[in-house]
Amino acid sequence: MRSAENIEKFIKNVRCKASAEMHKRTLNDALEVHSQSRKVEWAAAHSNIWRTIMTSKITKLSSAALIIIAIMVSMIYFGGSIDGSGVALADVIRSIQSASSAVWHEQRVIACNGEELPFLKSDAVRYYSLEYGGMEAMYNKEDLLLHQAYWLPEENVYLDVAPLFKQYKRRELTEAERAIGGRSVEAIVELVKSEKTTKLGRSKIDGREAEGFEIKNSRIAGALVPVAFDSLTARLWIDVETSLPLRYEAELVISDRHITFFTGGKAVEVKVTGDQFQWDVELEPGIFEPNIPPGYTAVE
Amino acid sequence: MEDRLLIWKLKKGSNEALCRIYEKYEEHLLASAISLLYDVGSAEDVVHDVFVSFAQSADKLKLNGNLKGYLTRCVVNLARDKIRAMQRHRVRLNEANPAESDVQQPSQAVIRDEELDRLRRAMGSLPYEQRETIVLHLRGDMTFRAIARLQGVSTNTVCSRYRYGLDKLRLLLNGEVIR
Repeated sequence: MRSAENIEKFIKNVRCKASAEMHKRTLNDALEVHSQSRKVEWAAAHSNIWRTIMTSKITKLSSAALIIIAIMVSMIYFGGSIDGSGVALADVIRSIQSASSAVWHEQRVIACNGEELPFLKSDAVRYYSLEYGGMEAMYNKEDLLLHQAYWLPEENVYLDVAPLFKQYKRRELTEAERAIGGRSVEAIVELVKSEKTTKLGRSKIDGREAEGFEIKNSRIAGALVPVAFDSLTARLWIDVETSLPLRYEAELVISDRHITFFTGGKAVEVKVTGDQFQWDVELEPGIFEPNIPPGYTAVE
Repeated sequence: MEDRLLIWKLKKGSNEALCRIYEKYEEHLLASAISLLYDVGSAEDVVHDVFVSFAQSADKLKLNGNLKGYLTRCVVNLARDKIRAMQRHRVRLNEANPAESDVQQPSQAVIRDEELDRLRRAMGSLPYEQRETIVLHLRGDMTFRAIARLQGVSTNTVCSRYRYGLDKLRLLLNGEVIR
C-alpha cells in the first residue's frame, strides 16, 4: 500500500528513457537550430564591425587580386619564357585572353601581430566572363553572405551590394578595373617595364605542374591597388601545360588608417589566396545581373 | 550551480552544453509529458518541440528559477496546447464520424517501465487540470501560488485540484480503483 507521501515521491522521481530515434532526432534538431540562431546572433553582434569594414577600403582588396594577376602576367610577358624550356610566356597572355570565363575561390585572412583576426576572415567565389564582366560573392567564416560585388565593363559600373545592412554602393570603374575588365592586359604593360619578377621554379599545385613567379613591393601595384600598403609580396603559379593561372598568393602589410582603425592603429597583414580555378566554364548571365532588393538604400 | 554554468556556456554557443542539458533532463521531461498526455508519441513530440525551441532561443533565456522547473513548465504549456488541439480534432471527428472518435488510441510505443505505465494510465483518468497541477508541483517544483497565477485560478482551487488528484492517484495506483 502506497502512502500519499510515497506517491508524491514516486511521481516526483519517475523517469522515462527516450527511444534512440527520439533522442537522436531531438538532439540533432536542437543542435541545428542552435547553430542557426548563433549565426543570426553573430550577425547582429558583429554588424557594427562589418558595417565599418564594408564601408572602409578593405573590400577594395577584391579588385586588387585581379590587378595583381594582370600585373604579374604583364611582367611575365616581358620576361620571355616560363623556364626557358620552350613554354612561351606569351602563351600565358594568349591563354587568358582566349578564355571566355573563369570561376575560382579566393580567401582573405587578416592578422595583426601575427595573430589572425578570425572575424575578418572571408571566402569569396569569383566569376569572370569575357562577355559580362566580373562578380564575386564574399562570405564570412559563418557562411554569412557579406557582399556581392559586380564589375560591369559594358556599363562602366562597379556595384557592391551588402545584404547584411540592406545597402548598396555604385560607382564608375577605375582605370585599372576597366583595363582588367576589358581584358586589355597590354594597357598596363607599359607601366610595368621597370618591375622585376623572381622565378620560383616549378612546383606541384593541386597535382599539376606549375611554374611560380614572385614580385615584391611593386610600384605599379602601389599605384593601382586602391589601398595604401607598406609592403607587398605576390606570387603567381602558372599551369605549365595550359599556361593558365592555377593559384595566386598575395601578402600585404597595411598601415592605412582606413584598415587599421580596428587594431588600434597597428599594421595588419593581409593574405589573399586565389585557387581552385576553372577556366572556360559555362556561366549563367544572371550571375552578372545585380539584383538589388526593394528597400535597400544607396550609400556613397 | 551546474545548470547556471551550462546556460552560460550555451549562451556562448557551446554545443556540448546543449547536449549535456538535454541528456540531463530528457528522461524527466519525457515522463512529465507522458503523465500529461497519456500518449507516448505525442509526449515525444512535445519534448522534441520544447527542446528545439529552447535551443533556438537560449541566448535570450533569463532564468529566474531552476532549469528543470523552467523546462517542465515549457512541457506543460505545450502539452496543454496539444490537448486543446486534440480536443478540437476530436470534435471535428465526432462531427464527421462519431464512431471513429470513440475509439481510444493508446500509444503503440512500448513503455518498458511498468511503474511508469501504471502512472500514465492512472494520470490519464484524472481531469487535465488535476494532472497539470500535480506535474507542475511535483515535477516542476512550482508552489501552489505560482501554479494559481499560471492557471488563472485561486490558490485554494489549485490546492483542491492537487489534493483530489493525488487522492485519486493513490487509489488507482494502490489498485483500489481499476479502470
